[in-house]
Amino acid sequence: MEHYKLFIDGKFVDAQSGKTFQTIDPGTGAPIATVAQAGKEDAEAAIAAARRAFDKGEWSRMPVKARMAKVQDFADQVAQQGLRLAATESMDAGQIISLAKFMPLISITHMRNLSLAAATKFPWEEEIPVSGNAFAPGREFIRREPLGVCVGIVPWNYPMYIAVWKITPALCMGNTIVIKPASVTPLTACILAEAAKAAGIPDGVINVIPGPGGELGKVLCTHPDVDKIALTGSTEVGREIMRIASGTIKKVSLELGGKSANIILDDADIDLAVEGACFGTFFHQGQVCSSGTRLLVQSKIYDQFLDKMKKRAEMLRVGYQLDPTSHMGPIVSKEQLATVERYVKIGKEEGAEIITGGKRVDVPGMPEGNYYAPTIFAKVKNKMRIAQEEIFGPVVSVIKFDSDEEALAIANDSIYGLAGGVFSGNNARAQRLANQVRTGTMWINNYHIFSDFCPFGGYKQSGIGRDFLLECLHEYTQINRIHVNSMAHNHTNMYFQLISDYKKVDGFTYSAPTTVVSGHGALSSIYKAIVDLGCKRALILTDPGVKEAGLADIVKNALADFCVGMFDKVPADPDLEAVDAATEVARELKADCIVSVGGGSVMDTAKGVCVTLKNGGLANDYLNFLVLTEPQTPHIAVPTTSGTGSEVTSVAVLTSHKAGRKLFIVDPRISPNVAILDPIFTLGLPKSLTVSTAMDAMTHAVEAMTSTMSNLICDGMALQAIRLINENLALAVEDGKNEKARINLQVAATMAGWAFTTAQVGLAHGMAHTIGALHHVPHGAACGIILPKVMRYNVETSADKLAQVAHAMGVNIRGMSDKEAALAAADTVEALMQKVGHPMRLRDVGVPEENLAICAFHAIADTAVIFNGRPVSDPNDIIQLYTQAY
Amino acid sequence: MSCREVAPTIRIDLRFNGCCDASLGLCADTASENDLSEQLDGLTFIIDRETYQLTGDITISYVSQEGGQGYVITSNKPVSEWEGFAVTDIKF
Repeated sequence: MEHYKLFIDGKFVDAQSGKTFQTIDPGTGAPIATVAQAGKEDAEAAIAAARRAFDKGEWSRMPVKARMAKVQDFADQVAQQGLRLAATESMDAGQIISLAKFMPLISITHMRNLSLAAATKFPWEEEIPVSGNAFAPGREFIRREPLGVCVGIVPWNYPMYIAVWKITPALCMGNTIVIKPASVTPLTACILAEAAKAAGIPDGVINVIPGPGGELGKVLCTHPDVDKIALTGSTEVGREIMRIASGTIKKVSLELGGKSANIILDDADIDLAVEGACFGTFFHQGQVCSSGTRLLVQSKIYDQFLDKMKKRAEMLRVGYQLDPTSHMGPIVSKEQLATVERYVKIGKEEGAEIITGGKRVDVPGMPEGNYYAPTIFAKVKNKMRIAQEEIFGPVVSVIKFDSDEEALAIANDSIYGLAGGVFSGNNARAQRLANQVRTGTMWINNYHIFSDFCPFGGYKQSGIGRDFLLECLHEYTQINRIHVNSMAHNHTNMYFQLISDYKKVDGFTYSAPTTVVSGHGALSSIYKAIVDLGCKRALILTDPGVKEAGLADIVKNALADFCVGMFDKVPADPDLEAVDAATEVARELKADCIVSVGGGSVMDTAKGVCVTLKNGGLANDYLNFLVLTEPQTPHIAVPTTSGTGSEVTSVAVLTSHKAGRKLFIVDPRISPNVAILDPIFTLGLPKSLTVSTAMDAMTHAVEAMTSTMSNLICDGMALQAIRLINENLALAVEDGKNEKARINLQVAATMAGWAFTTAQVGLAHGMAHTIGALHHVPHGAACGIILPKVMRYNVETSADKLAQVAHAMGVNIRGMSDKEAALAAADTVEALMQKVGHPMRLRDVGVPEENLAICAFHAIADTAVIFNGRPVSDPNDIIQLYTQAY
Repeated sequence: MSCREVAPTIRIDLRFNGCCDASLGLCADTASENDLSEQLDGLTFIIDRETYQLTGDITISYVSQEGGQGYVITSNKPVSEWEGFAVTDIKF
């Protein structure tokens, strides 16, 4: 009799205890081989060998294509052993030879498919273009690495094929493995070990240790050097493995039991469904975890179907597994045969009716064989044990149902969810049902179809994890994330600054992608700009006031045939719904470019439209920071005020009614492509709007100077903006038609926009946002009233910057300290406001005094406050500032 | 095991827990004619004669360990190689 040894560290060895056991041919009851029986010490030796092999790196760090070549060499050796493997599998596991002869072939295919996928399709290294963290820029990528030492526990129904399911992904991903085959079917795993050695798989990479699960399982699943357990086996064993593996937090994948529903609908092709039901249940004597052992048959065809199925089952030939005419072989062991018989008895006791089978089969010349007849139980209720517990034998429970809904309820009434089927002449009906069965695999008009590129695994108590292809390969790796800081300096790191008193961010990245066209007649450039952007169908976005003033029509005429429509319903303080409504119009008109004509509300709405038009869905989907990865729908901005700076900024402020506040899309990719600053659009701007929008721009510029994110480029932009506003605002107020003053104010607003889109704003904006939201104070007016107070508050940390502001505003700061100059800057801002008739106090714009405290608590939570040069953490400070402004 | 009405006896029964390996379980049940019974510490254990032929004498231990507690059931003739690996409760 042939003797098989353990395979540990590349050597075939006997068990340290010297124990052996016999393996039995279930078709004859005769022993066919002796096998070394591994014990605890052998398991530890195998784990140690696998650990050494992994840590050595010859396999785990081998280039993936070299590893693929080795696995393919292994597959070739399996091919060379094909006949021996098939015959041994048949004799050891009772697989009929017409099934076993395919096992080497599908094993080889599996090894080749997975190794090729691992080498060419698997994302070993992946860039993360959008990190989701706007405050820590850097290259983000992940590397996938092997886990380490894996344990594969293999059942007895497909001993070779399932061993290959465990070995192949483990090896392809650079792991080492210890295989424990089932004790009743250990032989083909031992032959696989011979093939691995012949292929030159390095010592210790594969180890095979047949032996009792109860003893070896404890060692394999608790040993600290084991990183992953992959089990195909019973739910009870899987549950215990999960429990004991948790002690050392091992990765676990489990493919466990099933009690799958095979649903036969009344429109099914009866002959096909009968064949599918028999194959789904009696194939390999029913010893398949995915078997459709709950056969749900619709009442309209129940009698006819059952009659045909009975006849078909009685035609199945039960015989010795090596006889090529046998349709079914023996049950794998005496114990399993007894289990099947016990369940048949239970079924009878529960009131189910056997319509065929229910008894052993005598095969001539094989009195000790474990043969059992295909058995059909009718009149089964789904609550019966024979419908709830897996039998793992050729026994099917037929359950009658009336409606699709009832079939679905029955199908889902199980602790398992491994597989299932639907037979129907109507694919749509079948798929509707299949979609709702809570199970890992559903076959329509087919059964037991496994494919290398289709995942297999269970819902509910049928397991966790998936076998086959990429899903499986992922489960044999772990993810290593790498972050490489873009600005490797402690003073550029906003996170490190959380435990530092130094709050300034010194380094910066400046990006100003918008092309600006400015000056008298600048609008005519739009005709070329749209062509340069590759667009032909522009939708104008505007608001009712701008439309009424005739400004949108001026742009429409400039666009000529390129204009496909106009959306003129953008509200003040635009909400997400406004973006969605405009996007809908853009989609209907097949617009390929958005032209915004208006103030900040219109331009911010247009930015939202550009994103939703490009990416689909709703504006609410994109409220986030730095998540866009490619250029958006082209946008040409034509501002009709001189304040917001939105024509060049990377932010859109949109109201979310669900969130109850204004939220943002912040991304350089939403900066307009072109901004056209033509004074024709601001010459008619009323005095009050001229003043409040200019103070908005002034606040952008001053706060960009004093923010923690301020930088040399933005400082330059901001100072020039401040200078231009200081010099031109009064002129424009005095004479609204002063074109030069209007142009200068437009440029000032744009430059302030460039400054704050990188440097951010601060406390004044946070406070202004709040009183705007709670008391509907125009944003520019609120900014103006608050700004001088916040400037004085910030003197403590930003006196040098504010001194530059004073200088830009024409203050003679010679001889002044920075602090004196900074305070002078605030005074000068107030003087300018008074000169141009800007409201000076919150009481002037309708803010009730008793609400100042509430406003303060809202303001301290505003995003802008994060960047204020002087850290703000006490709401009392803000109450004081509001009070000063009151 | 399915739940039957609460009974004064505990059945030792063969059960299948999915994919490949049967085990022994405990269930509150009433005795039937074909059962063997044993009184132990005030409890009556019953087992189907055919199941007993398969298993031989049975040992039931109570274990309490990190992460779980329950009964470990082993038999003279193990019903599977995993016998004794996992714990079980009494099903009512």
